Amino acid sequence: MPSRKKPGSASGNKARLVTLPGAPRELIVVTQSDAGLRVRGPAMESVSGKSVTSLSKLLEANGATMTPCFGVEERVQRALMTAAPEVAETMPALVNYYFVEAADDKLDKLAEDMMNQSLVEAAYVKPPAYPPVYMELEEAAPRALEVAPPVTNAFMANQLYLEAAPGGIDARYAWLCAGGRGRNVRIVDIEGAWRFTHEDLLQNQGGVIGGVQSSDLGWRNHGTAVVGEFGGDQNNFGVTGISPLANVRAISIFGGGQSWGKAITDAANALRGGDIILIELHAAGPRFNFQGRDDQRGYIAVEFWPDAFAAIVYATQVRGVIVIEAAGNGAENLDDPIYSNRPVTFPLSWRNPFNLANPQSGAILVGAGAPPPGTHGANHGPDRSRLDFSNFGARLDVQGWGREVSTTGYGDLQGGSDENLWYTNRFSGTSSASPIIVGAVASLQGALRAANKPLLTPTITHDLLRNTGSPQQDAPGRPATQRIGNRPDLKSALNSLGIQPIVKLKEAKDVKEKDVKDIKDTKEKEKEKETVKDFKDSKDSSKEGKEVKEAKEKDFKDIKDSAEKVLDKVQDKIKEVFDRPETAAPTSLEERLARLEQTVSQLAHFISGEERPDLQASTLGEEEDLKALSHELEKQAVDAKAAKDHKDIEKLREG
Amino acid sequence: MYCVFCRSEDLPAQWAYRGLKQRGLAPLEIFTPEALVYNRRLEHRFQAGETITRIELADGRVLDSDRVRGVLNRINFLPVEHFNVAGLDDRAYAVQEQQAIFLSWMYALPGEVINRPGARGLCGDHRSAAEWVWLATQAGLPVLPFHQSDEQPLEFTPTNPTFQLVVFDSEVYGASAHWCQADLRNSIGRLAELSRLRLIGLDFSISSAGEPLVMSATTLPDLRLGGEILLDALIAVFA
Repeated sequence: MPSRKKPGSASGNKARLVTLPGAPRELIVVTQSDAGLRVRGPAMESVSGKSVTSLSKLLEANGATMTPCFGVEERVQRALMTAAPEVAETMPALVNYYFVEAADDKLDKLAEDMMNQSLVEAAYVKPPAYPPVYMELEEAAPRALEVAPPVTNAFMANQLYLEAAPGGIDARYAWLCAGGRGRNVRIVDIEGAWRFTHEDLLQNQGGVIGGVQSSDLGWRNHGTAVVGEFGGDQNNFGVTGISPLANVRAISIFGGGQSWGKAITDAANALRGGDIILIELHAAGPRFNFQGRDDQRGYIAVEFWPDAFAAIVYATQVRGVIVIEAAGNGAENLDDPIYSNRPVTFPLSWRNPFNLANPQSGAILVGAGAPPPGTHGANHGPDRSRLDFSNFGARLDVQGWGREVSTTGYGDLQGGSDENLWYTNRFSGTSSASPIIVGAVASLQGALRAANKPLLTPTITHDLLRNTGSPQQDAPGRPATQRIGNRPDLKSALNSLGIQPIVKLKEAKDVKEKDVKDIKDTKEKEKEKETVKDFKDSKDSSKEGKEVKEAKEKDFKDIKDSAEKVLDKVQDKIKEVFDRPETAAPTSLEERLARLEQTVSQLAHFISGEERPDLQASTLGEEEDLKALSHELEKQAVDAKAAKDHKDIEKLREG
Repeated sequence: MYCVFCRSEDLPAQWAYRGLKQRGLAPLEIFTPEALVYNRRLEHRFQAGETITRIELADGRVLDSDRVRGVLNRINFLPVEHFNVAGLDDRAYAVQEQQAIFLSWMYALPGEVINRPGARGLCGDHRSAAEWVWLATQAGLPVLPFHQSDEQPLEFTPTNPTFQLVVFDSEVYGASAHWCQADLRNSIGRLAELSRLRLIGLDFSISSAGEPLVMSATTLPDLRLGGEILLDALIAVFA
């Protein structure tokens, strides 16, 4: 059985990694399918008439309480009724999962005793969950003595993962597409704590909507760093998230009655189809008998445990939510046969979720890849090669940066006494890799929504991420056959979905260069004509010639100044209304015209795709594509009535 | 030709129209009740034992009963606003006359009409919730306890979770259909037979013991709940 002991003593590894207090262990009980158990507070009954006396006594004797894992049984049944028949057939019976709360030292014995109960099929104790961060202690230390500057510098230049593929995921390309910053997409991050008062996390966030935040600084730094990667505010300082316009909320796995599984189903119920859940957890797997270790060896993705698997299936297949899950930092080959051995305490129906031949959770499993050598002066191996701590195997879908991620929190990049101003250059692990995928998927969904195209489903997302992007590279001792998947390339992914930028900056620039030249030529010709006329009238040709030249130069300068002033005013006005791309300030007139063109192309519909109401969130969200037909019919009805009225009026006149 | 009759806001019907069209049902036209009622010209003849109807619509389309091979009928009320200028008695008379002629026309249409009008409704006989509950008990279905009186009007907002199943030609469709055991399905089929309707939606509430209880039924179910399988069944009937 997994121990409650915090990782620390058994390691022997050289790197002194950040260690955090794990989430409490959880005892999960799975009842027999015909048990018909209904639990309401301390009261328990079986609707199928089975005796619950023995089970009640066992709980009472241990001072334990048992509650449905995923909510009141009838509500769970009701939620499952929305599943398609083919999903319902394979869906794990969520209604049979119960969460037992008892003193930690009683959990193991209680689980054993539970297994002897006739109503119980399985009872297992889950090891503590940890955030899958892989940072050395000194990396994570805030520069506490440093006083933060009065105004935070812009750190976007450090965020190389935003750049073009293959080094980055080309978030900047996505930002040129309507909705490409994740507008109207919702994300829920599941882990332990966050700093939502951080100066760079104030926009588009809905705070913590479930569980109770851990008071531990390590958990808080972790959550803050994760959210900063995709949700860092769009402004002129600090970092900018990959999808800064997506709405970000969080659910903590801490708090009474809270569990990993419940956090996942609660998140799924708070989201719409096509929205995103991020699971930023991993836990000690069977490699070391579920025991925690400082070096995180043997830690695996949480879908290994049946309740978490069931909750993810519910999210992906019943709710249509895209679940992105850290693969874990255990350096494990998830294709190893050890993962096919069913732990004796698991339900008989359990199958190794890492084996693609078995039923799948539908989550996107994310591995940690090396950033381009030289990033922040470090070399972690060839770009996109598997980092040594990252789990790998056929089940992994995609990789993100597992080192050198610049984001909010920790304080090694900008420290000081105020946690709200902390930034890091060193966020890492499958922890830092997964939010990159979240940001990428949010960009895609935002762009699809803005283009009124169908959103990605979990299955399509899975296929898209596997089939596009920059391929994994070999590293000495870590060949690409140790699969962690491709690094996303938003440009190729967006193009494969038929989405193009609103305006191609270079093309716009070329056009405007030509326009400016034409204006300049025309004006010069007109001036020349006028000056020639003046010249003819003048007797002093040499003096006038000089004046003509000066006048021409002055006129062009006036035109240019005047155009720049108008542009300034228009751009300022537009900026008040619309979000502007977060790039360096334009320097030339041509570039500014290109920017203006881009904005005007959004204004062409008066309300841009990004600014339109979120119709998907309405009760008729799924019928959006039927609305055109509905409008057509409405017109049919109105026209018929108008024709009839006209005919009646004519008859009255005739009469 | 094949027809879908529905209101402009009836998205489930339009979903079915689109689905049937995608499955190749052609020619398939969609008509609103306003388009039918506010026509240019309507001929309705009974001659030599047959009924012939021809409606010229304001948009130029012609609906000739000779050519109609199948109808998905979702019209339960006709527009009557154009009678508002008339006096009360005249209006009541005109409304009934209009109802009668369209009921007669739709009832006499050849081919498959789902649902064919009845004496008490254009989209099949209209029944109150009380009648549906009574009919459900006759079919052997468990029902939500029903109370209605002058003092206690019917409460239409159930506190328990609810769901709807679509019943077409006595077969049960919908995401929740898998939840129905064989005996429940048989009873639902029996209810459909008793109602003499080919297409209905059956509304259930879930009891605290997890048992589905019939609350009411409708002749205008949300067809989308039946999914692609229901569309396949419709096309099999029409084609």
